[in-house]
Formats: sequence, C-alpha cells, structure tokens
Amino acid sequence: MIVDYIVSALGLGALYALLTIGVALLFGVLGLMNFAYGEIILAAAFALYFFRDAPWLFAVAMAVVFAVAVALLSERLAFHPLRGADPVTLMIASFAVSLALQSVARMTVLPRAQGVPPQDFLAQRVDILGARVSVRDLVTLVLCGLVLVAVAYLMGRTSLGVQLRAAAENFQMAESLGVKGNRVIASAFVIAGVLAAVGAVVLVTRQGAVSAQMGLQPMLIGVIGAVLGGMSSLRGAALGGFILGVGTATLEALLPSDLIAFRDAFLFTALIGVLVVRPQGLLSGSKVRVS
Amino acid sequence: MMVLVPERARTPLILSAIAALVAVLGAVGGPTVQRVAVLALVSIVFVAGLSTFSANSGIMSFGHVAFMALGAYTAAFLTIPAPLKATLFTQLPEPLAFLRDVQSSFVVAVVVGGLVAAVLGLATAPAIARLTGLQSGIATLAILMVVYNVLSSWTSVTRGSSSMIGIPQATTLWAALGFAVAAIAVAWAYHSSRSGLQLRASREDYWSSVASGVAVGRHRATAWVLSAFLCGAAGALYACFVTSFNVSAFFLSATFGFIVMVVLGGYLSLSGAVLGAAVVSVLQEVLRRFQDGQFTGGSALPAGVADLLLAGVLLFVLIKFPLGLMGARELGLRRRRASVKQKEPVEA
Amino acid sequence: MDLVIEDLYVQYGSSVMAVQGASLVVRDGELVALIGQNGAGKSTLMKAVMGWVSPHAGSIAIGGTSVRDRAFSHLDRGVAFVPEDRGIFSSLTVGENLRLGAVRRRDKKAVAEDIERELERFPVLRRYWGRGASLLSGGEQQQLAIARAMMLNPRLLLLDEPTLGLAPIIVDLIFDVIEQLRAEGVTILLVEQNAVRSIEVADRTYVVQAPGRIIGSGTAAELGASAAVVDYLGFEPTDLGRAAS
Repeated sequence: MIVDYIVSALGLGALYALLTIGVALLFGVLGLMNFAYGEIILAAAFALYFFRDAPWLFAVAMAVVFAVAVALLSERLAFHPLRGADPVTLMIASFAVSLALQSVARMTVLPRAQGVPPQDFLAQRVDILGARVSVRDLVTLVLCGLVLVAVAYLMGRTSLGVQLRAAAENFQMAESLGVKGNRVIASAFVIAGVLAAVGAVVLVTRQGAVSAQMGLQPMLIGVIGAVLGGMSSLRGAALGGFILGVGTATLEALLPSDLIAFRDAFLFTALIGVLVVRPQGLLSGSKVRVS
Repeated sequence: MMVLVPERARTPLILSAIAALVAVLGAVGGPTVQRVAVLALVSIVFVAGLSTFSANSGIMSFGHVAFMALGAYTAAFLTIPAPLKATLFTQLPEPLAFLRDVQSSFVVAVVVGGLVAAVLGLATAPAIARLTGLQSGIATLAILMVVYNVLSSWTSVTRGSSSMIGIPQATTLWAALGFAVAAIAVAWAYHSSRSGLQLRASREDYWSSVASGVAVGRHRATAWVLSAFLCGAAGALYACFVTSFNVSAFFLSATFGFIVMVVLGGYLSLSGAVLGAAVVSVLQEVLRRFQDGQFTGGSALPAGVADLLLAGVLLFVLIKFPLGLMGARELGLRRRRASVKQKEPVEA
Repeated sequence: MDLVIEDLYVQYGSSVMAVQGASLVVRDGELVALIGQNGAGKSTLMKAVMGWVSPHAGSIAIGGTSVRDRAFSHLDRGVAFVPEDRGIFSSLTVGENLRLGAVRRRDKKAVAEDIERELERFPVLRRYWGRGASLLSGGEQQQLAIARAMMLNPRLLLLDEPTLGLAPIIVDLIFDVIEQLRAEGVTILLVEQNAVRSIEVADRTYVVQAPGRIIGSGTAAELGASAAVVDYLGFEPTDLGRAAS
C-alpha cells in the first residue's frame, strides 16, 4: 500500500516536473507563458492514436515528430513575429494559438474523443517489496525520470545548454557574442516538443483516450508548477512541478471523496496565495523576472 | 452639434450612440439579427466592465468571465419561478435553502447579480492590488479556474454540468440598450474620476506614481471591484436573455471571445473595448453563418472553423496592431496626444 | 578598421533626444576616448553603434559599411562590445561565460590558446574558473567581461565605462589592460567618466555634453586650447600631471 502510493506519487511528481519544465523553458528563453503547450501535447497524443496499431516504439517516435513539428510551426507563424513583445501580449497570442490548434484538431481528426487501447504490458502489476505495483506507474516514473536527467544534462553540460541559459538571461548580449538567437529559440521549442511528447505518452496511457480538449489540464499543471517554482530557473520549476505532483497525489489520497471534485479550486487558490506572498515563487532565490 | 456638448461628455455620448445603432439594427432586422444585437449589447456591458479595470490599470485580466458567471447564476436563482426551483434544487444545503423561495424583478436581479460578483471582486482585490504584468494575468486566470471548478462541481447548488433552465426571458432589446448605456456611463464616470486618472498615471509609469504618493493598489482595487460589478450585471443580463445556460458558457472560449473584443479595439481604451465588442459580435455571427454553410452554397463546414478564423484575426491584430484600433485614445477627445507607451529602446 | 559616425541623432521614446548630431571617427589601430558626465548620451551612442538602438538620423559605418545594412554583421566584422552593466551571465560559471565568447569558433586548439592568453592577462579568472559568475566582485566581473570580449579576437573593441564604480587599484589594472590591448593592435573606442585617465591613455578624445552633443575633440593639447572644453571639464587637459595628482 505504502510502496504503491510512493511509486504513484513519485511518478506523478516526475510527470508534473516534466510538464512544468516544458512551460518554464519557453518562459525563460522568450518570456512566453505558452498556453498552446497543451496543444503540442495534443499533437503527440494524436500521433499515438493514429499509430495505435503500429509497434509502440514507432508510435512514440511519431509522437515526438508530431509534437516537435507543431511546436516549431507555432513558433514560426505566431511567436516569431512577436519577438520582443511583452509577456502579456505573448500570453494572449499563445491563447489564440491554443484555440486555433484545438479548432484544427476538432475540424479534422478529433471531432470527438477517441479511445487508445493501452498496451498490454502496461496494465500488468509486478511485485516490489511485497506490494503489487502497476507497471504503468513504474513506466511513468522511469520514463519521466530519464527525460528529466537528460534535460538536466543538456542544460548543464552541453554548449547548447549554456547558450540557452545565456539567451534566457540576456538575449541581446548573447547574440553579440555569437550565440545564434534564432537557432537557440528554435531548439528551445524542439526540446519543449520532445518533453510534450513524453508527457503525452504518459498521459495517454493513463487516460486511455485522446480528445481535442485534453491539452488544457497538463498545460495548467505546467503553468502552476512553473509559478510555484519561480519562473527564473529550470531547476526551481522542475522542483515546483514535482512538489505539485506529489501534493496532488497526496490530496487525492487524503481528501474526502466529496471534496476531490474541488481539488482544482484548492490548487488555484493556493496559486493565488503564492503569487501574492512570494511573486518570485516558493522555491526561487531573490531574483525575479517581473512582467 | 459636437461643439455644444462639453468635451468630457462626448465619449460616452458617442459610445452610447454606437450602442443605440446596434439596437436599432437589431430592431429592424429579423429575429436572428435581433438576437445578435442583444448579445452584442450584453457584450458591451461586459467589456465596459472589463475595460474599467484593464484600460485604466493597463493590466490585462483573463478572469472577468468568472464575475459574469456569478451574475448569471445569481440572476437564475432570483428569477426562476419558485415551483420550478423546488424541482430543480432538491438538495440545497441548509444555509442556502432560502434561495428556493426568493423571487425578484428583472432589474433587481441584474443589480444583485452585479453585487454578488462585486463581493468576489472585493475578496480578490487584495491580491490584484499587489500584482502586475504576467503574475497578474496568471492570478486572474486562477480566479476563473477556481470559480469554474466550484460551479461545475457543487452539484447540489449549481446543478454542476447540467444546465440552469427556466429563467424567464426579460432582457429585451431596449432593456439591453438601457443597461449598455448605463454601463458606458459608469465606466466613463470612473475613467474621469480622480481615482481613474491616478490609476492611468500609474499605467504610464508605475514607480513615479508610487513615488509621488499615489495609492496605486487602492485605485486598482476600486477599479477591480467596480468592473466586477459591471461584469456580474452583464452575466445576469445574459442569463435573462438566453433563459437557459450551462457552466461551460463561462470558461475559456468565452474568455477568449472577450479578449478578442478588447484587444481588437485596443485594451487601453474604453472606446476601443465598446467598438471591439460591436465589431466582434458581428464578426462572430458572420463566422458562425460561414461555418454553417450560408456563404458556401449550403455545405456546412466542420465545427471549429469559426474559432480558427477568430484566432487568426486575433493573432493578426496582435502582430500588426498590438494596441488595437484605438491605441489608448478615446473617441471624441481630439487634443490629447496618444499617450501610448512607446517601446523603450533596450537598456542593457 | 575605421569607425565613422556622422551627424547621429538618437531619440528615446517620443521626446528625449539622447544624442544630437554627434560625429566622430576612430581610425584603424587608434584608441579613442569619449568622455562626458552621466547622461551625456555616451552609452546611447555605443548602443547605436551595436545596433541595439536605432538612430533617428545620421549614419554609422564600420570598415566602410553601414551598420544598418542588412548584411552587416558585427561578429563577422570583429566588433566586440563590453556594455556598461558588463553583460555577465549570472546563471553561468566564469568558465562558461568565457567560453561563450568563442561559441562560433570550431578550432578547438586556437580557442584553448586564446583562453590561456586571457587567463594570463586576468589571473583572477583562472582562480574562479568553475565558480558562478554572480559570485564575482564588480572588478572581477569587469575583467571577465573584457576577457570574454577578447575571445572574439576583435578588431574593434567598444568599452562602455569599464572602470565605473571600481576600486582605484582595479581602475589602474583596467587602464593598464586597455593600453596593452591597444599595443596588440586592437582598435578601441572607450567611453569613460574618468576624464583624466582617459585623455592620458587615448590617442584622441571627444568631449560630449548632454544632450549628446560633441563640444570638442583632439589630443590633450588640442582640447586644452578650447575654452568650452576646459570650462566643461574643470581642468586644463594640457596639465594632466597636475590634474591627476
């Protein structure tokens, strides 16, 4: 029971951290709080549905391709022309992109929700320390954990990571030193796309269905996690997302069943509280990127 | 004629004239046109409220639809006939049981709807007073999320995802016009007030306003509560026009529609908001008909086309005219130069 | 590589004219100083040269090409800029900051040599190599900023107030480095408030008065001949020895 809860809480924490990083990365580099992040996840989820009869790994690869394509397309068409606009304008624009992508999905391929039968191996349970832990939860934990480690390595140890962090902090200065701003921004969207795709893989196996509206919830999770963690650093954002995930799992385990429906109200009230008391985020240091 | 009108009364008069034009078009057109006109006038009430906050403070709100929702639910409780209410709400919790028996006139319902929204405004004002920019945008969105979550989950009181039904239709075309004119007058009165003036000064330069002793937070809170009242009233008008509604009417797609209105018109200007509401209401109707196939020879296009085109319009405006049609100007005021925030060259 | 600015006007917002009709020339291999009080428009002029602000009127050309030309690239032309706030990336380490100056270069061996060269020049950077750049003192950050700019192997170096707010001993160090860089053949435009030291090291000096107007230029002797300049500076540039002491 306890082991079961721990694996599921850690899994949810890792998933939320993943979603949060995708949002925080674009915010850090561009000042873009991307509402359309949910639709990037939707694109990946659609790929999983479309290739549901193909081998699982192929479907996952296509999910990455779809998500990255949509992420890059939104950058080209909407966010590139708005480079340098203030964050609120960017947020409104991403709202529009989100609605546009959702409409396209509803018009063409997903007029209604579609089931995606879960892979057989994910529905099984294994014995760990005497507890029956579901493979699905284990896969969530391992997959998200691996991706988080990969992102940490990419951001911390590679030249691209250094350039991304530099561009996030002072775009003009970075460009004057030879950082190729456009390429760095594009790669930030690519990374966000990959993160979204992995998030979609986990979400689809958990929900067993895809729909045009499915991006909303994960996008909101990303935004809340990023705000909680302080939007100035990826590490803070990941931690914010992780705590949000563990907290949600715990709330679900502890809240009386008639209050679970109000979980979001609790979460968002807490979010407003955090914004007021610590606008720089619960976990961040002193510096905050204001408006 | 303009010469005879004192300058400070010109803007509300012109905006009222626009509202009246919408009403007249509705009156001479068929029932469909009339429906569009009433909804446009309700939208004008809403954007007058939204713009009372965002045009003066310079802060965009994503949460005002929450106030509209409260107004609509309040009006429903006040006007649904008691016998129907008895069957709709069998499980009202004890403290709210009185709602089963209350009954009020249309005008009272609209005012009380506004007041209930204003109470939520008052409760959230301390947070709004302290935040700016993106933080503020996220906080306003969070308010919408909380209200939406409560309305859709508190089944015993709000019927959850089931619709509210049986509201007597009371928002006639002329009643809507009356409220629209009143809302414009209230919004303009605040715009011209001392508080409104000081708040706009803070929009131009926050710190120098604070330094010169302006209580920016207090003015922001005032504008916020007042705008909550107007948007709540708009919600009540909406409920009393459509007679039945669902909680999903007060979520992101409604928010998006209103954002398109104020951004298209110029979110720093009341005139822009009112013009935007009128223009976008018509645009939405045209797009809806386009989607239904009226212009393509009867073959309906897939659902979502209208939303897609609307999103395209918004993106185009944001990229080409980030301050909308009006910028920070108001109709009828000639001499003041647009005090639009110029983009400062980057300090680095 | 010549820098030629002609009749430059730069406007901030809708009203403030930060630079008004400034003209100046920096010839290849020269060290030219631009001095004047706070708010005289010196930094704005620098940013205009970098293309970070757009001029209202006038022209800026480097090596004969206008910087507003679409094809103009400050990097390809070898223009490096050390801004007034130093532009250090606080989320990166000292080493990462320094390496960022060579981000475009593929010749690993030459890059390693250049890093070694800068670490010789600024030993303090070697000591703090793996440390977060935000932990450096102001003087150390300034040294890092100059070292990083030098990683571009610039032909034209723009230094904006490199000694602002630094301790006297560090000011001496920075001026020594500037002279050293000039000796290495780098063309330098130096913006300073420290008029005495600047006139001392520079081949020629331009004096700017708010709002962005050049009131005099030339060698120390030439400046001393101008009543307006002497009046503005408050000392005779010809008697540098006495003024400095």
